[in-house]
Amino acid sequence: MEACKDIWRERRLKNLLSPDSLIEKGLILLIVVTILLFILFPIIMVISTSFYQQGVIDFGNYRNLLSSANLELIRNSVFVATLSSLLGTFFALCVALYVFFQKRKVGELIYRSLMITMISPPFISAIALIMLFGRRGLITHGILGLSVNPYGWQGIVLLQTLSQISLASIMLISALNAIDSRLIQASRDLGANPTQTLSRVILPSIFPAIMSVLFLFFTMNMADFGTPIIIGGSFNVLAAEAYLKTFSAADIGKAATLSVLLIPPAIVAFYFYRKNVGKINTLSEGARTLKGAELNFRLPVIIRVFIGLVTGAFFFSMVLKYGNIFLSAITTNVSGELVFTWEHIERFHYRYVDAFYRTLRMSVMAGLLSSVVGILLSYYTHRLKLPLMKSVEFVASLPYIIPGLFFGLGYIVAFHNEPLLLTGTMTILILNCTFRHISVGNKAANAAFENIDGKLEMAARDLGTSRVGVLATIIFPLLKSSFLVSFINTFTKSMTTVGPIIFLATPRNMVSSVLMFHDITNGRYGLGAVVATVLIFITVSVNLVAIRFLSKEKEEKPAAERSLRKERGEKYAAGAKGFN
Amino acid sequence: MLLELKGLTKLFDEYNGVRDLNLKVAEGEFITLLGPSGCGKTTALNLIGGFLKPDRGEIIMEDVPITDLPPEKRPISTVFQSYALFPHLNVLENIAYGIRFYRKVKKKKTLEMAGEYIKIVGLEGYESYKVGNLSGGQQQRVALARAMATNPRILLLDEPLSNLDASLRHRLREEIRNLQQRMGITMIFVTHDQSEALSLSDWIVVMDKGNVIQVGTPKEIYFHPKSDYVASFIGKSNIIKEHQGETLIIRPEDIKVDLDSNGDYRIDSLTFLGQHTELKISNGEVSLEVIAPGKENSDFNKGDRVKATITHKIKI
Repeated sequence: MEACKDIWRERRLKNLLSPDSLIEKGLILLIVVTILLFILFPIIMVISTSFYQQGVIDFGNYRNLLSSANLELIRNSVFVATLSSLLGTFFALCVALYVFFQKRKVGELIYRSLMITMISPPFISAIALIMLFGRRGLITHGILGLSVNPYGWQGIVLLQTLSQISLASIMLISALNAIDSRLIQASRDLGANPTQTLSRVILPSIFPAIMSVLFLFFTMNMADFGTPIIIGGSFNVLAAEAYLKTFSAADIGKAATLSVLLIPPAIVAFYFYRKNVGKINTLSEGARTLKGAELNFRLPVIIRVFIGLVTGAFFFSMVLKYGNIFLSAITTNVSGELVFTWEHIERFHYRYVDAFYRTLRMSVMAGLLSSVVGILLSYYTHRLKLPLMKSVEFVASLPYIIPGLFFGLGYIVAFHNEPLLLTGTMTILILNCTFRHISVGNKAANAAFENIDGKLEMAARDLGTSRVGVLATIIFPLLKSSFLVSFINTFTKSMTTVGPIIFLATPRNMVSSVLMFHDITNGRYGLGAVVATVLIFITVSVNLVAIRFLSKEKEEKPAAERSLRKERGEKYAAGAKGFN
Repeated sequence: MLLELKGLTKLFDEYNGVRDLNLKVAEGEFITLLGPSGCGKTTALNLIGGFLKPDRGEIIMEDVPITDLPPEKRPISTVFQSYALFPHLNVLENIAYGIRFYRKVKKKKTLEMAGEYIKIVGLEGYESYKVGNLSGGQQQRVALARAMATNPRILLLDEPLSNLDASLRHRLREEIRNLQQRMGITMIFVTHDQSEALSLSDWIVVMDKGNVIQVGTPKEIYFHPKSDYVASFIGKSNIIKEHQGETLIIRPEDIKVDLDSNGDYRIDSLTFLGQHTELKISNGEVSLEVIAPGKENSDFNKGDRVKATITHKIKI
């Protein structure tokens, strides 16, 4: 023991040369600069582009907005987006309530199915709609002998509604699970029956979540250009016009102006989203949460049947959708008859494998980067409480709510000149996907930090670890789950996204989802279905592995959580002050 | 001197922090910083540990200033109030952590060395337990072992017993004292519990609002408090302001009461607590608190007239 008594004396001298705090400063600088450069800068560029015409400030783009053609576009967009987000939110609420009051096992099963049906490239349900219910649809034409026109606003509303139910239900289920169950018990105790409790306690409790879902989907539907282009027929909307303006007419100024119009609803969505997050975080210390099934609580038969039917119909439509996509990949429709064929798969093999590898590489890279940056951002903002980091974190949360189209446009405008000439490269795709999804990792890490004793880093430093060493040996190992959640989210979205990268993927750096979009818009449904099948298969498998891993982690957690809860409780009891 | 604090100051605002702290700690001593929450004792500990930078003042260790040294380079380890055990590591790995990073021992050997500390704190058999599955007392031992495993010159303990229940607190208190004497480790201990301070310390530093009020041995502090603040914080006391501006302090156990129908005092209230009985007596002018031990003092009644004999009093 004597030998190591004086280690500190020699080490003291080395301290001045220690690269440790330099590395950390560099890391913080890197995070701040990249967030400003790859999030704030493109956003500002889109807005400023909308004000310029041929190099001078000009409000022409905005004046032209009020032309009757544009007003019609706005009206169409608002109409469709309102209708589909209202319907989607309502159905999602039904599904969520059904799951919440379901027995644990069944509820869990439905929940997992929701997580899987959430994974789907956008607008691929359009394939199913056209193949099953279109003019030559298997059901409408083949079985019923009708010739129905699926094109028009009804098609858009149907597809948008269906496509958002999974995610919306999951968001609402977590809000329901976060209700302090004592409120429900108290309501019953004070004489309210289940229906009254539902309308006076349960629904008001999740009201911010409902609004958040509603506006989130309103924003997404406003910004959705894929569905209207494929299924809208002659019914045109704002986002589709912005897409066409950029894509065919190359009128960036006009496209920028149109996409700026998508921002106000996004801000409202963001407001409710923040409110909702705030509420969940401030759940009182003693709040107890139970699954609805564990409460002795039965809704009236008529409501139960209704929400059950909605849930059933939703899953039936999902079976139709996925079944049809897989079927379309290996068949071709010869005058109403399905004929087996290898044709689509062969075409995929020859043309798309390269793009597919690129997509995979891009998604993995983006997943890793966005998780690392998101966690570090959270660490420096909330653990070390560095000044101004909250503003940086706010900037980082913007892409979550900004329409993908807008964000993609921003990258085109911002990065097509030296020294930041990135258009047409793999890098721009990775950066776009990374920074678009950074806030999920950030939020996951924020939540995880809430439950981690604030003295751990101090202890690690005390035991001889450097600042950077703390990150490697304590922070990242502890945030394994958050890292995985963030990685999976970014990976999944990057694999299936189209909106933000449709302008960024050129023939030189093409990705699968964009190829699929072009195939479907050009009527090559079979080929589109093969791409969709491959994307779904890979993404779902990766997700299943992750879910499995996460639930294993969770099983190991209870003991640790128990001790943490105790610790936190006792810290309050002892009146100890937090260490800043 | 092993450790010397010279004019150490760190103020968060006017009332929070530490003001002009001077202290000398010799090798092998057990020093307690005692005071109510907010008195600055934890700030002082954080300054010594290196987690805070002082506004002014110096920390000197064996004549070498270490004020600018980060915590990972100081030969000082801390046992945190919440223990701050790493939840992703098991018991052995937690203890090995400092051996690996502070003492820079090769990874393989660290676990072996950590085993020795497991023995010292008596946790054999728990090596591979997740720390979340341990009881409070066991976690406390892991925290102790982990801090000792870096071979620190000084061990800092931040209210390490406050999260434990009363009987365990008693036992661990003795264990810590034994360990300290057996291993000869210098310890600086922070607490707001006077009985911990009295029973463990060689020296007690009484603090209030960032200032050091008195430094002394437990007996000095108890029997010769410098102010009524110290007297009232440590032990119970009757504080009597005399006419000449003097303050008289009488410990409740230094008053003997006897039934006497002609006595000056009357019993206002009494509480039977088993090993002793607490009485409140008054003579119309002053009222006194009395702690009367044993069975012989358990049979008083409210309203009884008594004679009070003061066996020891302190003048300030």
